[in-house]
Amino acid sequence: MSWYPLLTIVHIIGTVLGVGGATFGEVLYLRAIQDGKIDDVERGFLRLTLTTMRVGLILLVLSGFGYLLAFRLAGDTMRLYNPVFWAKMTIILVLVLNSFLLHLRRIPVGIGGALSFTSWYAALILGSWRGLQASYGSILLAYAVAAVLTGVVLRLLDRAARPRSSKR
Amino acid sequence: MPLHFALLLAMHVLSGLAAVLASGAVWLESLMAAPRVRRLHFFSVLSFLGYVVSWLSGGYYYVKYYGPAVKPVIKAGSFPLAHAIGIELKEHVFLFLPFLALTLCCAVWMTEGGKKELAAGRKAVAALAGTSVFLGTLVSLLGIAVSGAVR
Repeated sequence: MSWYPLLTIVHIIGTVLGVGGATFGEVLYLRAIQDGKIDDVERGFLRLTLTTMRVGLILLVLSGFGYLLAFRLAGDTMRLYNPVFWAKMTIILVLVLNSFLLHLRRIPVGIGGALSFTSWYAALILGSWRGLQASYGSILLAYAVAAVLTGVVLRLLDRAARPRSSKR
Repeated sequence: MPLHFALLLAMHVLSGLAAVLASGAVWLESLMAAPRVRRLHFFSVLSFLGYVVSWLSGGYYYVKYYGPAVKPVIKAGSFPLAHAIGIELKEHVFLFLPFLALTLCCAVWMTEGGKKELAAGRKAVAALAGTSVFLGTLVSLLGIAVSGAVR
């Protein structure tokens, strides 16, 4: 019996929840601060998107390890030394650590949010881009640049969304 | 690979993963301003049990199958360091990881009392849980590297 279809379904669900949660987290946040404050209802929705992302991350990690196990048992171990794979693993580790730090409020929301948003999309792209030929270093460099740019764009959107009286 | 060894390998990986995730939950919860004691208890026990199952299943697999069937393939292949460094590191770290998890479990269950004791205990628990997560993650990544060398 092949486990790949089940693993693929769970992995995709995890990615959808994570990427969707990260996207709607930003969209809802920008919508919520238009009046300059986040009320209880809006906070509730934002918490829900965080929970959705966490569920997505757990599904992603579990199915990801399921894939690794399936590759090993099938003897398809060449993939496990692919630099794209290791870049994706690094980004997932960053995502997990960032999730921890955001939950504990040990990282500014602006930085954590940008990192989360970039990491989810990076994981999606790396997982979907079949045949990508790139070194580990070049992928992480592109990821770092993307994270910084995303942070800048989100900051600009944040300032644009706020009411005039709260802008500096 | 014979079915029972495949099942042992799967058990080793999945229970280890559950143990690391559970340690992560203990770490997270112990760093919160108001940790939920029941969650700390539950995840610390889950972490310990996960490591023990991973330890036993991995150990049996290592002795009965990895040694005679997999190790020679890795050592003769392109990545012999996967065994020389990867497995050796895993072996030695995993000697004490279940005991670290047991210590974490005991620390969590014994951290009762007033606010002062709780605060002091929480820092120690957080440090222990964080160490468990770090070492568990390291061992998992090394496992992937070792698996990749089997060609």
